[in-house]
Amino acid sequence: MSPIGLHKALNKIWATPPGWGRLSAVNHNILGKRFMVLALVFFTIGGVLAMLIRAQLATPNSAFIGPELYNQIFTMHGTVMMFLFAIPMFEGLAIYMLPKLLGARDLAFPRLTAYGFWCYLFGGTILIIAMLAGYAPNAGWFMYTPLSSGTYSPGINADVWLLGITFVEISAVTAAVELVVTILKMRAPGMSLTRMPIFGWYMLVTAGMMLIGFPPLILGSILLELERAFDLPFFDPTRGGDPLLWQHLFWLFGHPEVYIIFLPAAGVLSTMIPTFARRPLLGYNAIIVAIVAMAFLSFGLWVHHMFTVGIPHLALAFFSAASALVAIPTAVQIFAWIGTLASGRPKFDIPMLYVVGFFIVFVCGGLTGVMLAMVPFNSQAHDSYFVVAHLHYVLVGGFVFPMLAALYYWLPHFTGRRSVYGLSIPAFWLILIGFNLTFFLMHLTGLMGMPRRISTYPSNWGWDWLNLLSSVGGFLMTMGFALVLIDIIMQFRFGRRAGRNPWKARTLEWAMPTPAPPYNFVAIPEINARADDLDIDALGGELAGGRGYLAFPRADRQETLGVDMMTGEPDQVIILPQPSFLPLWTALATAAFFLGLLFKVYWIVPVATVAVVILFFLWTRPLGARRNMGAIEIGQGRAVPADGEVKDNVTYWASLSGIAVDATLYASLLFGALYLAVIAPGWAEPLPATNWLPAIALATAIASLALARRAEISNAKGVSPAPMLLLATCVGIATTLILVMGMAIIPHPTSHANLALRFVLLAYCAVHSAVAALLALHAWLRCRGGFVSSVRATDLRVTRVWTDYAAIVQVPLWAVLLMLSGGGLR
Amino acid sequence: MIGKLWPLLIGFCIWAAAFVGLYGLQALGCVWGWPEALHRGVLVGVCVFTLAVLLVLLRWQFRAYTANPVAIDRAGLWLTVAAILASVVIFVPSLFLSLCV
Repeated sequence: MSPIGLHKALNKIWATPPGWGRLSAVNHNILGKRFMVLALVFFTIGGVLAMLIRAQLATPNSAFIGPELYNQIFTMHGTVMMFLFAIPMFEGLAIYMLPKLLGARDLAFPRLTAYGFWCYLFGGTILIIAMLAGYAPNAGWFMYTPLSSGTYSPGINADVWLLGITFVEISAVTAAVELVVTILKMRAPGMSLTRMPIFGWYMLVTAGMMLIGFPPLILGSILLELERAFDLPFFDPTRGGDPLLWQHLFWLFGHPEVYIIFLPAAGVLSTMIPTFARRPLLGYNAIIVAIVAMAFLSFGLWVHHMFTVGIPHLALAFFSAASALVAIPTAVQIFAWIGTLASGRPKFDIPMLYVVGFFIVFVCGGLTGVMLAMVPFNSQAHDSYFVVAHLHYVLVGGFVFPMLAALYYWLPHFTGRRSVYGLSIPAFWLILIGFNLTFFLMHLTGLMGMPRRISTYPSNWGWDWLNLLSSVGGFLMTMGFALVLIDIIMQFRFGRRAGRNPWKARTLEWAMPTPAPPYNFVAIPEINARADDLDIDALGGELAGGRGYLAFPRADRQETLGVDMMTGEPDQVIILPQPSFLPLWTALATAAFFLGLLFKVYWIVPVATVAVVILFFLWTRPLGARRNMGAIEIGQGRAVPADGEVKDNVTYWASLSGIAVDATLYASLLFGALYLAVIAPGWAEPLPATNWLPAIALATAIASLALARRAEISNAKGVSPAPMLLLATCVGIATTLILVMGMAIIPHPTSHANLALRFVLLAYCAVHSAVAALLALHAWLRCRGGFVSSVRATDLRVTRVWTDYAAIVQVPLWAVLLMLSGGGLR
Repeated sequence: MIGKLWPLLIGFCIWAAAFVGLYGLQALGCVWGWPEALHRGVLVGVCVFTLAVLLVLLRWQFRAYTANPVAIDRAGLWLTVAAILASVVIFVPSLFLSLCV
């Protein structure tokens, strides 16, 4: 087939329908761009809020915005920038770019990408509509209790934050699962882990951090919403709770979050700098070591946000030392980039301007970070504008500048056109000068004692001219961003054609036509060298000519390759789902669930839950096969099985990744229980002993586990697993009911955190028993539909994994219930 | 899958477990009113045990790497070295700082 013929045939298979059909898009090219565009819309909203803040603070005793509205504005500015801009922006970039850098045709779970996008859109929209209606969250972007508890924030505002952000975080968790699985399983043949482009490593570490980092926030939000809606007193010190538990849960997420935002940006820098230095990245292996070390250390810093709450010196020292130490792996990367530039033949272009801006701004932010890691200084600067300056230097320096560089670097990939230079350069200088004018001066206002979050200030404290200049700088920076926006529009309209590889880069994303076709590569390449040092011009021509793997259309199936995680040897053909409206409907049902909770229309919640479950059941209908296909030809004289016929497939690994998320949430809940049992006030009074229903539930959960395992073994021997699965379903439902009964007979769970903890621990285990029962039921339906054989056993493996998990979580449940019955650990 | 990445993860997983353990024991010792000598002895014991485990791991990883030099194993080796250094720097205040004040 001719190259044009191949393109047309593949395009027909991978295309998204026009018109309303666009809402069924699952292709990563479309969804990645939608994520980024929506993130930029939210960035604009966050920027407008920042301008309102700076207008208010430009002069002393300003009456421009009252304190209540100011509280909403600064809360929404932080919330929008962190949750609706930064995280989705890099997710969008990774969704768009990773398959291209790795040599794949799409991500592992295209419909999950679409579901994540809709959750992001709907969750973000709830927050923005609430703000426009005057009900925006107003307790600060980290929502400290007791300010955000029902007593002091009685309206709907805090609920909007807790439920809206949890809704949005669904997209972060789904993105993390699929990025981990895609990076490990869906690379080009021959691309071993150690040949992976460095951006792949950065995103692997980032996605791994997201799996572990987000659950504590989700748990904290659930607990606080339970307290606000149903009066379960986890954070109420008068009833055995502790407000500091919220701070622990929030910052267990919040500090790794800074590195979750920085690492993708650093990955972008590590990808771009070698292109402009015209030499391979210096210290590839050292950078891998540095980012893994950084990921771990970043989880040991969270208490440095809590240095002033009254923690013993020794505990402070652990977190202070870890906070200072994390600068070392950061410095390794900085020196690797400087070394790459110094030893190469650097050429300057627009992206490099922002790279230089990054170096200046981020290094300053890093140094003030080390200052704040020191307890004595932190105690002085805590909650002052110094901290505001530091965090903006780190986040704007470490994320916005690299993302602007990335925008200019990869815009030709989106548009197929080059930049219009007339506006790009003044835009950069306005942003750089405006940013430093705004935020450098905030270090001084902070050191002069100006606390953050005040809506106005008197005129005789020496802060007037600093604030005025900060506001002038803020408006300069905004002009710069406006110019960038105009520049992008100009590039779409007037930019000259860019050609295939305008920067002479050596990474795979440029070995395709631009704008990228929906299938990315006509042929999937064989990689024999490190994948950020390839001869792209030669490779692009070869791939366009169909020299590589899967260079043919087959049975209208969207096919890409799965590989061995370590070696990159192809081991399966992954057949991806076609465009579908199911993600949209599922996200709408999920939205109904959250809106029911938000407006306290609780009858909607179970209805929406059932709708979500039914819709997820429908997701699997087009997947799988009713007969074994055996080895399928993939080109180059090779053949491998379809993904449904191998054990090591992406669905199975996604289940394990999901369990990692879930287990982290459970571990956070156990931490919460132990924390309150050790620290919280008001635990001296005697409380009722636990009932014995959890012990019965543990026995039935183990029976369910045994049945699911038995089903898998029977299936491997060619015996139908259906009866065992039906039995496992029934036993799972029985386990759920027993645990729900256990919850129901806890006396007055609103009276004390001890009883509330028992209630929520039992609820967690009941939900997981229900999930295991549903999966067993689903596997039974798949058996009945003919989708399961001794070879096609993914449904059974997934059921077994979740049934195991539902039983295992009941072991610590029992131990903690006994501990709580004994009145805690004192 | 994660099993094949263990050389990259094992050193810092041990560090993380020790970090959580020390933080928890520091709090429990204060709540339970342990005598200072016992409290500090337990914390220092955990530090020493952690370092010993990490050093044994390092020796084992070094032997595995020299027998079969693979890039992932080399990165794992350096990560264990980093975990040892992190343990020394972060845990050393257990020797001298006030425990419950």
